[in-house]
Amino acid sequence: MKSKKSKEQGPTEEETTMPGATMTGSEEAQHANGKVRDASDVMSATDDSSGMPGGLTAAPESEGGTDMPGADGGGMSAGGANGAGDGGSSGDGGQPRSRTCATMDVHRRLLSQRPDYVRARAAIETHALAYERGERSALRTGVTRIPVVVHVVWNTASQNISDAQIASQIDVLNRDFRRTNPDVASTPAVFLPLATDARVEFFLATVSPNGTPTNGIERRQTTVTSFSSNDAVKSQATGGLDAWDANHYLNIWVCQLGGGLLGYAQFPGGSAATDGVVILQSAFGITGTAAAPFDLGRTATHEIGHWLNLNHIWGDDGTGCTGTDNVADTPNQGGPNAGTPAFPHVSCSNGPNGDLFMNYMDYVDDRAMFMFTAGQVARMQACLDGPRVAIGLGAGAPRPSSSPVVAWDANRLDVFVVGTDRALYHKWWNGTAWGPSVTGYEAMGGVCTSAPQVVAWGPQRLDVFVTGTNSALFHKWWNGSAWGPAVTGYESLGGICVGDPRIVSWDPNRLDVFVLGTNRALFHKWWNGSAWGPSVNGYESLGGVCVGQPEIVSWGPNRLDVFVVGTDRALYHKWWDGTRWGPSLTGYERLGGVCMSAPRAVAWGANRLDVFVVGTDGALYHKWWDGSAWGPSLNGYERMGGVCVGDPEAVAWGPNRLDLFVIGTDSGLYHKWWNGAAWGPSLTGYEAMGGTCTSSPRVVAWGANRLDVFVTGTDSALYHKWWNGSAWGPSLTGYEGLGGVITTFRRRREMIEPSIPAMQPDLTLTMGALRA
Amino acid sequence: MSPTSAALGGSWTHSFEEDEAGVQVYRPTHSFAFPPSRRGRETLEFGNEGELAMGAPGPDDRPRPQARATALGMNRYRVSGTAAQPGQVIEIVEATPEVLKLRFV
Repeated sequence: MKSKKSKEQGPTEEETTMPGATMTGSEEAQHANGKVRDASDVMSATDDSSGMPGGLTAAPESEGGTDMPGADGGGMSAGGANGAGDGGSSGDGGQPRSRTCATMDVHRRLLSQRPDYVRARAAIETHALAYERGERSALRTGVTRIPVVVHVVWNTASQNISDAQIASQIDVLNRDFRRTNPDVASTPAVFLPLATDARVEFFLATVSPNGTPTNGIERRQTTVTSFSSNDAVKSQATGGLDAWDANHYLNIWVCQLGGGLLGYAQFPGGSAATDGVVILQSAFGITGTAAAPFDLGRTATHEIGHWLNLNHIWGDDGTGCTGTDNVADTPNQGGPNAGTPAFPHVSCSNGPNGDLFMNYMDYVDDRAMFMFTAGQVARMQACLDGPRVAIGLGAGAPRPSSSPVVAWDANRLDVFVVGTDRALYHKWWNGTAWGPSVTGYEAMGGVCTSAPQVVAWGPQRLDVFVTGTNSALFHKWWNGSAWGPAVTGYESLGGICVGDPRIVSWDPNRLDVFVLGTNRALFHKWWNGSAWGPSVNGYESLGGVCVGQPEIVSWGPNRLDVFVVGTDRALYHKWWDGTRWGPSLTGYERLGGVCMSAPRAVAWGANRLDVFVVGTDGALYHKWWDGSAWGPSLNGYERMGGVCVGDPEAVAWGPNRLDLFVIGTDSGLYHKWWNGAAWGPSLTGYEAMGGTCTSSPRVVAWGANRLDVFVTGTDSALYHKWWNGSAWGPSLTGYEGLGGVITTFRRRREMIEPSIPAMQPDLTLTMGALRA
Repeated sequence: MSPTSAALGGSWTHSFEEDEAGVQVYRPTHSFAFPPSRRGRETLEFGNEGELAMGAPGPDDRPRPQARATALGMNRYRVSGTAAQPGQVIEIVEATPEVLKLRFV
C-alpha cells in the first residue's frame, strides 16, 4: 500500500480538499473546494413525509420479546489458537530532600498558577452553581466507577501498608459514596432525609497508563522521613511517586505526613501532575496501621469530597457565619466541629437542629461523620460532568463498539484499513505526527474479507478482528510493546462469518465478539481475560435471521445491547444484563421501523441508548432508551431528515452529546449534533462538510468536544478532518490526505441481502496461513 | 535584644491541644511530634527581617498563607487587616527553642 501510493495517488499535500476536486468533474470540484451548499438543498430534497415509512405496517411478528424469524443455532468451526504475554514495570530509588517551608512552597505555587487556576476555578464554580440551583441536572444517570491508583511511599517498613489495608479503604469509599455505610443510621432523624447516595464507586485500577495489567498499587521506599503538604510525595524526583494520568485515575498517595496532618486534597482545576489526595498512612483504611480516632477510613472520604469539589461544611471562614460551602441544604455553621459532638450543636442561629457536624466535610472524628447531603451530591456530580468529565468513562463506562478507527487515549488515533492486496494496514497519530508517515502505512499481513474492526480496552491496547478468505474470524492485538501473535500474524477464532465482525469491550481485558453465521443468525464469543468462550473456535448462537450488520454497545460493566435488522427490515434488540440474555437467549425485542441501513447505536451514559437508522425515504431516524422506556415509542422513530447514502455514524464525546455523520446523495459529508437541549443545525438540517466520499464516515472522539472523521475519497485514499473544540480542521469542507489505496475501510454498501454467498470453499489461502 | 527574641525565627505550628486560657501554644514545625488531627494547624513563619507570615488550613486541608504581621516591637506584631477590619495585635508571651506562646492583645 505504501509503495503504491506514489504512482496511484494524486493528492500529496497534507491538507487538501477531497480527491473529487481533482479526479472528477467540475461540479464536484466546486463543491469540494468549499462552495458550501445549504444543507437542506441536498439533504432535505424529499423531506416532507412524517413517521418512518412502513414503521407500523411491516410487522409480521408480535411486538415485544419475540423470536426473530427463522432463528436457528449451529456450530461454527475451524482454526488454531494463540496467546500473548505482557510485562510490568516498577521504579524505585530515593534521594535526600532539602527541607523547605511548606507554607511558602504552597504560596509560591499558588502565585505561579494563579491566573489560570483562578480562571479555571471560577468556571468550575459557575458550573457547579447551576447544578446547585437546579438549573442543570447531572448528566451521569448511573453510578460512576472511578479507577484508583494508590501510591504507597514508605520510609519505615510499618508505613508500607498492606494490600488488605488498601482494600479496606476502597471498601469504605464504596460504602460512604453509595450511602451504604451502616452508621448512616446514626444520623439524627431531622437530618436523615438529607443523607444521599453520591453514585460514585471506586476500584483499584486494573490497567496502568501504559496498558499493562496492574493491581492499582505502586510502592516505593523513600529516604524522606515525613512529607509535608508541599506535594513532594507526588514526584519521583522529590522522593515520592509520579501521578498517573489524572484524567483517567484518582491518584491517592499514602505516606508519613509531618505536622499532625491527616491528609490534604487538590480541588478540580489544578495541575494534573499533582491532582489527587494525600493521606497519612495511619489514617488510611480500617486495618493495619490505621489508628483511632482516624481508623474508619473517613480521611479519604473527606479528601475525595474535596477532590470532587466539596467545600468544608462551615464555609472556610474561620468561625464566622458569612462563609458558605456553596451547598443550599447544609445549615449555616460557624466553625469546624471536632471530636464526637453531641446533637444538637447550635451555631450561627441554626437552632434547633444546629450544625450538620455528622457530615463528611466537617472536622469530626471518623466515627462521628457519616453522610453527604443531596446538595453536596449535586455539586460532586457537577464536577463529574465538568472538570472531571473523563474520569470513570474508561473501564466500566459506556463503550462504543468496534470500528476501523479507535483512540486509546487523548490525542491518540489508530486507523486500520485493507489495501488493494487485501492485507491489513495500520497508521496512527501519536499526538504530534502521523506514523509511520503522513501517507504511509504499517503492513500487517493477512488477506482480509471484512473491514477491520478494532477495540481498545485500555491505554496502549488494541484488538483487531477481520475475517479471512475462509470466512473464519481472525484476531491480532497490540499489548503496548508488540503485536501478537506477530506483526503480520493472526490468531484464528473459527467460524464462518458473513460480513464484518463487531466487538465491544466493557472492561479491561474483556472482549465480546459478534458475527453473523451463514444462516444469518447472530453468534457470540468472548474473551474473559484468560480464555475464549465458549471455546477458541466455538460460538454461542443468539438466534435470529439478520439482514445487514449487527450493532453492539455497552453502557456499563457486564452490559451488552445488540441491535440487528430482521428480514422484515424492522429493528430488533437484545441485551445481556450481566446474568442472562433478554428477552431470551435467542429472542429479540422488536422495535419497529423499516431500516435501509445497519443500525448505529451509542450510549452516552449508563442505561441510555440512542439508535440511528436510515429509512426507506433515505432520511435518518432516531430512537432512544431513556432508562425506563423507548422513545418516542416502542415502535416509533424521530425523523431527522436528510437523504442518506450508506450507514450513518454516531459518536458521543460526553454525556448528553451526540454527533451524527452521514453521506449525502452528492457524496458529501454531512453532520448534525445534539447539544443536550436541541439538534443542530436543526432537527432535520445538516451541516455540509464537503468532500466526495467513497466510504461511510468513521468518527472517533478521543476527548470532550473533539471529533476525528475519516473517509475514503474517489482516489481510494484515506482522508481526515477534525473538530478541535472550536473549528473544523483543516477547514469546514477541507480534508487532510492520508494516502493509501484502500479497498475496505467501511463499505458504503447496501444492506447485505439474504442471497449473500455463504462461504468460498475454493479459497484456501487463509489468514492463518500467513502467520509469521 | 530581649532574652526571648533569639527564638523568634523559623517555623512554628499550633499545638492547639496545649492551649491555655487566652494563650495559644506553638511548637517547632519540623521537630515536634504533633498528633494527627483532622483540624488543620495554624503556622507561624518568622523571617530574617522580623516579619511574620501566618498560615492556616485552607479549604483543601493544607496550610496556606493567611496573613502577614509586622513587628511593632516589644514582641508584639500587628496582623495585616483591612480598613473595615483592622488587624489584631498579638504578643509573644514566651519563646524558647521548644515552645512559643502567644496571646491576642
